Amino acid sequence: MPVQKKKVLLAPLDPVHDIGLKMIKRGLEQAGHETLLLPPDYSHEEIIKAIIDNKADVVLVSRTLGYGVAEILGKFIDLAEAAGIRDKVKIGIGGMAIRPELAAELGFDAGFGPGTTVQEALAFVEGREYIPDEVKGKKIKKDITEGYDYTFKNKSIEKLLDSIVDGILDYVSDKTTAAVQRAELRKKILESQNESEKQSLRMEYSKLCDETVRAFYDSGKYREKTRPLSEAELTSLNNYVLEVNSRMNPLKLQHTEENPVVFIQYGTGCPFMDIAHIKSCEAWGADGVVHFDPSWGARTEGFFEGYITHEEDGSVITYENLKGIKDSLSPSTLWQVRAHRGLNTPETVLLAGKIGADLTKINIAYGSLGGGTDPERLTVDAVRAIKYAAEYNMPFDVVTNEELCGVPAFKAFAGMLIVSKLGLRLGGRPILQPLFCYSPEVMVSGQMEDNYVDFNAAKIMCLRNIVNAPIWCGAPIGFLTQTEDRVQSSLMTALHASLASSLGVDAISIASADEAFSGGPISVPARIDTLRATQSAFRFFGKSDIVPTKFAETWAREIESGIETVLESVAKNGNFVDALYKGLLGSREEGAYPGRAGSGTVIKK
Amino acid sequence: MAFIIGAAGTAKNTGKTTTTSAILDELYRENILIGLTSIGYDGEEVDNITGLPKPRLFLKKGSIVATAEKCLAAGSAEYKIMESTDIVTPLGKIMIVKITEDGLVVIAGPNKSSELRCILNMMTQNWKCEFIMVDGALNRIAPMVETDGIILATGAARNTDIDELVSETWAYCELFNLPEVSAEEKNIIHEQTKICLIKHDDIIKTLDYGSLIDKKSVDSIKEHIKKITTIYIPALLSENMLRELNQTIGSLWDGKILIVRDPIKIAAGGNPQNVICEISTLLNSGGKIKVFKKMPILAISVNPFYPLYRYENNNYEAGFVDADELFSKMKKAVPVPVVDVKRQGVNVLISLIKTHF
Repeated sequence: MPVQKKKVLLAPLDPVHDIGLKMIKRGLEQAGHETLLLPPDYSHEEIIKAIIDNKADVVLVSRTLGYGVAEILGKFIDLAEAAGIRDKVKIGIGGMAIRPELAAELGFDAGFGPGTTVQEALAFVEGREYIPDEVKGKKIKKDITEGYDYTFKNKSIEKLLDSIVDGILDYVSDKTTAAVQRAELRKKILESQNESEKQSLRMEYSKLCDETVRAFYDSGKYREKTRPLSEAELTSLNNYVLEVNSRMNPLKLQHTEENPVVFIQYGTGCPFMDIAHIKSCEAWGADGVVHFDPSWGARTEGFFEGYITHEEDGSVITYENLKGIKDSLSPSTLWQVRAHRGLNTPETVLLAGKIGADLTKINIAYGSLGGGTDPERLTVDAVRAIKYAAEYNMPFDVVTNEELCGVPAFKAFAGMLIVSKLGLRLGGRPILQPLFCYSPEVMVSGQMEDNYVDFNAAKIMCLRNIVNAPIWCGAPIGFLTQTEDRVQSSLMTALHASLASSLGVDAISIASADEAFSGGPISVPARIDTLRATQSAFRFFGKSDIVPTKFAETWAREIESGIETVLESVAKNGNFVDALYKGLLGSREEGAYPGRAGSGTVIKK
Repeated sequence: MAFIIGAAGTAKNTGKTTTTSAILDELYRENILIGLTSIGYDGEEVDNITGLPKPRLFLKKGSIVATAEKCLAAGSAEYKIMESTDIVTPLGKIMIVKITEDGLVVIAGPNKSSELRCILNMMTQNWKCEFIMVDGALNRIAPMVETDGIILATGAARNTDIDELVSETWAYCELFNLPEVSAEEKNIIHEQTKICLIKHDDIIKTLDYGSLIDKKSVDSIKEHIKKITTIYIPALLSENMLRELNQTIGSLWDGKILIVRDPIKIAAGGNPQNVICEISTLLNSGGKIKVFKKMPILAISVNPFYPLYRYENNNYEAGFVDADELFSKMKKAVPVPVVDVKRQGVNVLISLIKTHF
């Protein structure tokens, strides 16, 4: 049925802010309606007279709200009513701070706040119910690895990687660990339908754990500074999630399809608090969230069970904690559970996979050189973990945070490429995660003296020259460029995000504005700071590029050749694990110390 | 017949809802079926603009409420939907519900006179309400024309200058106390929607507008003034045009009658003190002014509270003017009962309401 053409009077009651009306005017005219924009200096009576004289069907008033303005608008509506036109004319109000509740209070027929689309105003004018464009605004979960075939452009690097990976697989073939066995037991526990069988599997499991975890299975004792969440807390959490989800309308950070997906990291210790942070970040546009566990979790053999809260940083990994978090997520949110370091790597990936995580994180080189786990132990565990990642179809990033210890990028990248190639060989989908920040290496050697652009760009260019693989800049971007000043921190995050986007990366992890220097809990407003800053930066740059200087290409070539040299030395050494101990992928002088947790625990099959 | 009263305010935060709430609390002691609606949205926990807490309405089992669909879930009272109407507000369709379990309600009623009339008819005819309170919204007053009388809530939130506030309230009382037309006069004009120029019993000219808001209409009236006895304005009479009329007609008012539809049609059009001033000019020139339909102010409710803006923290906090001074000056100035609900309760209002049962 054709829409009846309407006569719409646009009345700015505001001397300055009538731009919204002008935009709506254009939209209404395009839809064939007749519009008349009144000058902004009309008195109320003149507007009423114009409505009568022009036989307007609809009036749209714009006005920014402040104290006392509500009364002015109420008076206008009274005037329209007293003049007897209220039944003949629909009157809508638009402006900053206008919401439907306020429109109702003011006596208007509809209220249009910030972000109102022309379509919404059009629906009001035409007397239709406004149905938002679901597809346009809807967030869709993105597969970061889509479109990458992992073709190596640098064939000599590929050849070296293949030979190192052969060595790793050969090395681990006759070895296992308690972590591998625990993961297998956990799988059986989760899949068993029989409670007594589950119980006996638990007993078997507990024997493979450290004292603190065994005490939990034997006598229900919790680790210090942890406790189970109460029934009341869980009910309240459930209600909170239901209530929040019912009114969630998440923002989208990306302005163009080239902008990367944006991850935030959480791990307050309390699953309830985590979920509150996640929901806030989702609402403000985060596309993905990364689970951080406590540092002691990485050095403890075995996992607890149940909903457990921890009074310090890091949220305890249990099936129930992870499931609770997963169940609270919006459907479009990517969820990563980290397993890149520590003594529970295979079981972490298993749990993540069983619960339906989208991503995990595994890196032998970082986990053993910067993460504190014994290189041999982590190598055996990681191979099993990568197999689980492949089994549950979870891509995993290979993070290079050993750079933060002082390891130069080319060495960290060599480790990253080895684990990535290992991942490919085992059927996984690795994501390269270079550090995208002010790393200690450049503080010493000066590549960022002039700008933060060139060296970060060099890293991405180098990786692109080597292999066609997805890149996720970490973690968090801009780390060590941020200060306790939230504006400064947000700006640095936004600029790094823009640079990453300009370089065409697939994902970024961002910090909150108070993360680096919070000295305490991270606050939700500070999270919103960086999300908003990133969104604004994406809007600002659009599809335009940030152009690095000629140094970027020079350094990209230098890093690539450095990687090749390192890989040659590792291949020549013949044993990857031994190369880690020897410092070929990062030496003690550079700040990389082979970890000791789990040392001597590898078992010959 | 149900008795319907409105709680209208001169500004936000003048105590409309506090007054409504206090009246309801008292009336629940009586054995009458109470109805509640409003002419806008009210019932938010904190003020939309200042962020200060606002009173909410507590209703008891059995009450009938007309409110927008989206407000139903927001309250704590249990309810049963009795009737769904076609009246749409920014917060959804108006529903008529019966409270089945005591609790708080959020009220957003119809925002136009015609719709309020329709809702009030449903509440009285279909659901047999004996007493209906119509809660106000902001400083809006126009739809209250459908009530049997209003309680005007005013206070420091409107003006912290007590003398000014009292003077304005007095002017409102004067306006709402204008005499009603005779039955004969009513017969002549009751169906007219445009300004009529009348000679005794005959309408000799009808103008283009129902409202007197333009100079051209004033000129038309001047042109015919010597031939007519009465001017009837069925819609808005603005303060500016009444002044214009006085200046144009001057001494020719002598013996002439100006009729406006109701007090609201003149109160909505300007500052009440200025309007009263113009009316005095008209009366002093020998003219008369009447209303087609009277709508009394039953009482004045005064509130010493106002939102005090703090520059230091860009926030509002509660401020108060001298409550005793406000009350005593108001009581002295106006011809109707005055109450300060928070300090004295609403007994005066309740006795007044009870005279109608």
